[in-house]
Amino acid sequence: MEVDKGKGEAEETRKVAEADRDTVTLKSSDGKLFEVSKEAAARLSTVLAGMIAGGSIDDNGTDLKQIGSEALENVVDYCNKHANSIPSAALISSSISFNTAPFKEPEEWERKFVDRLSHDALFDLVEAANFLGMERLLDVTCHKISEMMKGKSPDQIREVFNIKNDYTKEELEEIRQELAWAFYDD
Amino acid sequence: MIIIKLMDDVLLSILGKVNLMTLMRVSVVSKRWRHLPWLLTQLSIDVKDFLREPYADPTVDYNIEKAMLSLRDAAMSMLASKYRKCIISRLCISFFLTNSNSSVVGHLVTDAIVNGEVKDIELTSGVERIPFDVSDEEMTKHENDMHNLIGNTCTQLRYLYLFQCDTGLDKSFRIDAPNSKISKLEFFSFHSKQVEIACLPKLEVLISGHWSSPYLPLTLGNVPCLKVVEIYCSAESYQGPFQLSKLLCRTRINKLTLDFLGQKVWLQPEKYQLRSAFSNLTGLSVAGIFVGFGLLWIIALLKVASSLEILHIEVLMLHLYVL
Repeated sequence: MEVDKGKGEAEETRKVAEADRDTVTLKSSDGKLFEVSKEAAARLSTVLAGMIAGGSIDDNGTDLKQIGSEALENVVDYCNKHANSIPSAALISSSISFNTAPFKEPEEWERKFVDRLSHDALFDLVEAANFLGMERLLDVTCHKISEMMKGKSPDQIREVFNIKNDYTKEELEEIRQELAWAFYDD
Repeated sequence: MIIIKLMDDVLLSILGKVNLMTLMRVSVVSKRWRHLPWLLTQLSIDVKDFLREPYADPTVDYNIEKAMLSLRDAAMSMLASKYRKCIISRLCISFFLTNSNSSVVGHLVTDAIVNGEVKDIELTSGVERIPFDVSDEEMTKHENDMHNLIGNTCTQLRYLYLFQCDTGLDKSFRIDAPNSKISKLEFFSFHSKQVEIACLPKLEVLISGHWSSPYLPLTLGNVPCLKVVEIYCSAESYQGPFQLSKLLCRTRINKLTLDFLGQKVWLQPEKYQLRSAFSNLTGLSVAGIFVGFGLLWIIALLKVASSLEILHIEVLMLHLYVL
């Protein structure tokens, strides 16, 4: 009996310690574990914030079955870098107005962060950001992908993204005529 | 390739960041993406997208006419109910106002709102031409067009942004539109001698930035709903201070933002004259004050703002380069 009671107390103490922990453990679809600051996770991801507030965080690793280990590593990396970055002066000074929400271009470190990713890694990350409700990361990754599309012809876009053209020549000609305003110089 | 598998909502987040031309090019890349442009809830149609070589020069009337025709086709096709499955929450149309096409834009805007396809429309109208190139006659026509657009054709419009949309340095421009639903009006870079807002019954937010006449050339008449005023300008040496109380004497606004952008203060010192205009003021933001200037004049503003809850002051550190 004495031993059991001691065990129970130890369990209690461990639980309290877990609740006080300042990190959360996330588990990728392929079973890898990642630690991320609880504060950053809650601030940057609406989904993780909801899980932390609702107590559905698993101390042995919260299952994120939709996210592979490479994408999750990038998510965690982004959260850590975000926690350490200082907002640029431009962002601070544009917050004075009552009416206009400041337009936030990606910061230098965010640009570098997405620039080093392969296409596949970038697309995995954009889906992870969407799934986790990470508005800022979604914004930065979508911005990067949109830049890869700008000023390109349909053929060039197919080439960059390795997409197969599933239109017939006749179908494309029909679209071109219907939307002549968009294709008059092609 | 994985991009083809991306979910529609992610693709739409990406496509929300490209201009209309890129958007249309992306949409014909694959059948899977064909419908995406008509699923966007925010859309921007800018006449500059249609000013392309060899017709890129906006000072040539023919080029503007050509671009405006393309813009009309683009707007009609983007709003076509054949493809559109969702309501546009915000549509921005940037265009050049000329005699022959102002009614086209007006009808487009009215139809879109009447059909319930668009919730909010923002019109940006700007003639980015050197004023001296434009004859007086054309300026007078331009003034009539502007007034016709605001007062008659686009009465459903809620947000209007006027960029370099003036009627000439020695002319006045009067907006008297009792039927207009405009709730937010924004001027940027205007060169008129005087802009008189005689009547805009639903106006709530007024933003006015950068004027070229010696004093802020703005007067307010019947604007009973006006709540928020924002004025910003980096004044040149020939520009003098104006009396804020004269501008606001017929209003009871809640929020006021004044931004000097690090240049001279264009506000005339006033004491009790502002009392009635400031009686409902709960938020005051004074920004862009050059670091070398004193701040004591702000106390005079505070003394008459009896309901004030939030005060925001920002001093600007400018880097001075000495050659």
